[in-house]
Amino acid sequence: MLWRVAERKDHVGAQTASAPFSTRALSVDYGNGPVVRGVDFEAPHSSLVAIVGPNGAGKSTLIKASLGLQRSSAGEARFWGRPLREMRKRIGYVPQRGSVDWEFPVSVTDVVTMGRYGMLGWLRPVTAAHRRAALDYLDQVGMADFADRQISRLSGGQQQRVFVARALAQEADLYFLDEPFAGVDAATEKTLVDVLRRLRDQGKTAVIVHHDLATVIDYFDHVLLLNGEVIASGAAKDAMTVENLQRAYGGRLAFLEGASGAAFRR
Amino acid sequence: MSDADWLETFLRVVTLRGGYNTIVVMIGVSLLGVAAGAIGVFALLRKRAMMSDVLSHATLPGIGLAFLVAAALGANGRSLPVLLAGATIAAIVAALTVQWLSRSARLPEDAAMGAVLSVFFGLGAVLLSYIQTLRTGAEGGLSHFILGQTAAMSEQDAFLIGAVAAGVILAIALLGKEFRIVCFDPEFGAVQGWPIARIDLMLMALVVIVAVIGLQAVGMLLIVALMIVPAAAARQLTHNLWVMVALSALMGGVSAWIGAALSATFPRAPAGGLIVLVAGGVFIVSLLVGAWREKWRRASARSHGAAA
Amino acid sequence: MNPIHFIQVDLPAVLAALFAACACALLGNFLVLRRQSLMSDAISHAVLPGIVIAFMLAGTRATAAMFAGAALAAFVTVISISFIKRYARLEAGAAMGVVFSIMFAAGVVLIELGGARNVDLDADCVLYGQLEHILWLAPKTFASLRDPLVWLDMPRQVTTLAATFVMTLLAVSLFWKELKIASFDPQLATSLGFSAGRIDMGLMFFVGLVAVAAFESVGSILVIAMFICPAAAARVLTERLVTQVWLSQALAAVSAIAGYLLAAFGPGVFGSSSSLVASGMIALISGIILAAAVLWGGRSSRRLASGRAQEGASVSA
Repeated sequence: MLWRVAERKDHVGAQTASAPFSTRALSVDYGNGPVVRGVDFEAPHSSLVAIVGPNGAGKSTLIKASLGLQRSSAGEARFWGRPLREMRKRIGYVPQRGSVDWEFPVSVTDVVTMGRYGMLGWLRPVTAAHRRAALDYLDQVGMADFADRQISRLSGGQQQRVFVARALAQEADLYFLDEPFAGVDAATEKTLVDVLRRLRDQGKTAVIVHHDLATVIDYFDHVLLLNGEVIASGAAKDAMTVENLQRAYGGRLAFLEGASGAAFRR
Repeated sequence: MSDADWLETFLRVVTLRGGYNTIVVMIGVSLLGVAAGAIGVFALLRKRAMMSDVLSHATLPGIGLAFLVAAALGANGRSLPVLLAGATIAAIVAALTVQWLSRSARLPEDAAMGAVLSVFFGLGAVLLSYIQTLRTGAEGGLSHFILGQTAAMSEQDAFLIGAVAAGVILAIALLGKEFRIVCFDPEFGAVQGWPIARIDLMLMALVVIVAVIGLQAVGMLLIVALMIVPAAAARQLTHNLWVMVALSALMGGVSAWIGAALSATFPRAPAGGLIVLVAGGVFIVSLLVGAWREKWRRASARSHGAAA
Repeated sequence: MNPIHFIQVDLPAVLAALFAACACALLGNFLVLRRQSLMSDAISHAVLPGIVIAFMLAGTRATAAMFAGAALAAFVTVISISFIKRYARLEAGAAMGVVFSIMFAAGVVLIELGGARNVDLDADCVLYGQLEHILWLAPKTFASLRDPLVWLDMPRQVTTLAATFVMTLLAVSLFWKELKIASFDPQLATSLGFSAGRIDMGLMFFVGLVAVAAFESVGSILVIAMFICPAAAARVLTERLVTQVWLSQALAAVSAIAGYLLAAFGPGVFGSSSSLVASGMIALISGIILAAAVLWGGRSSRRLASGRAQEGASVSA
């Protein structure tokens, strides 16, 4: 197992110029017209990237198609310039919280250990070292005290922290998080932002589906504004203009502008 | 048989004093129960309980066809390995048919499953009634696969069943980690690069193997209960997956043990029915114990809260 | 063969199969649409202990006792399934599987141990039904068919099934609107004042009723084919509910008649004097019809889908 870890470290050291995550003309179509249309995008190195857009804009779909969880109808996603299959081990993922059975018989530690399965491979059992690593990552999200809890006995925010700890346990270089801030308490939100910033400081990249326009500029470096197709993408401050938001959200923005318009650059 | 008589017989058999053949059969059936309980946990958590039922019902035409083919080739049509091979093939065809039917846009998967279950069983019934017209004297032996009959099991059969069950238990021990991720969060598993469809296939293959080796002792109608009922019972008692697997395996084994002893005591009653009734009793007790523990936990949490 | 034997032996069996198949298929339409097909599986298995206990108490296969026992068993099943779903942390399929398999196990053990088997209820009857045992001995000659008294002497199974079919037909026509809306959109139905839960209970009640009536003729497993296959085939072939229901009736009738005749006379064509089990053959024919419908209808619905995609989003269903 050691050689594999060493190899990974090499990868990080020898970063090439190609972006950690990029899509070219990526489209997804369920049969009733495209949900995502010809998305060209590049996520820069060492950055926190927000995917922002109205409901049904295809934000989650874009991530899922890039990760091979949904079939894309055209185009492709690349990771450090390579196809997904070669780079899987360097990618971490936090799905939407609603997607699992919370009554499932697993403890908090069990869930986080699942993040190590990718580096374990077939038939190899989880060792004490992996469980220790899981506890470390739980500590990073402030959940070490809950290690033995069954996951349905956690609050929504705590569940989200556990899922983030599981992604951290993947020890990846690129993370995808699908609405991690949806329905979490303020303390969890702060913890998660700290964790993400720490990842960025370690030279890693995180791509996050986000729905709170008020915090985008505060939390993120880079923005992909999406409504089926790309409306704007670039540095957060440059992309989040009122004009761009109006193009993405249409009439729905009027209300948003009144509430938190101060956050946007005119 | 008077009350005292059957009680004495039952106690003699259940404590392994029923003669060599009975002992071998009891051990084989109990290993089957352990394997069924263990794989049942994953079938239950992956929400494949009804699919497992469909596949075991669908083995009937395979048994009939295997008998006919073997008889036509001049081999012994009643040989257990031959019949079980036929049953396995039929289950695979049934699984593919469910997949094919539910690809049609307007046919929901549950309708496809119900249709395959009953139509395959219908085909099997027709084949069995055809075999009966051949008057080979084997039809009685074949219909035992429907509701189970431990009395008809030979030592060799019991060894075969026990050995395959042991293999299944080993496979579950080796693949536990893979099954866990597929059951809990298949999307996350896929991102890590696990071939979810292939792991699902292995899971269902183990279900089919258990169903097939369980045909003789429990029968195709109730073998799924020996997988699902202990798993559902274990679920009431624990939040830890491996504890759940161990408990379910234990409950499956004990139900099969007691059920097989009952079957030796009442040879007329279908063994599958007896085994499943014992498992059902275990389930009801677990449900009560689980509910009682939950109530106790809540009450103690409340009193802690009041103290603080 | 004496032709009057056809009237005495085969006609009542065909009629019983016909009424059973049509009653099942009628309800099957709504089970398939509501994704509750497997409830027919659960209920048809779970009524067994009720039937056996009623049989043991009454000593005969009296219709009223059997229906009472089965209704009680069906009620226990539906309640236990919803209880277990709520309190035992099990998904619907698993809860169903646990309840009906334990009930069915109790049924088959009771048959063998309760002494019921000695009379005329045994495991074979449970599995395959007894279409072949329905006899109408009243007509001795073709001329006697003109006598209305002979018709009144129709076997109990046939009259029970005919009455069940008529009742089901009446209930479905009476509650057509409610069934339609509850199958299409349960929440809308509830908001409009048709409680989806109550419609659901009503539907399950009739499924239980029909399952018990048909159980004697086609057995508890093959009755599932009657519930699902004709309705599913009709569903694949048409998009209109009225057409679907009529089509399901036609396909059920074809399965019942063709299946019975093939089982009874098929072997004779090959020079064999024996016959095959009729209920199995009926299930098989209905399955073949379903497979054909999927093969044929699958193609036409794909054509439809591609046509729709070209028309764009302006077309609404």
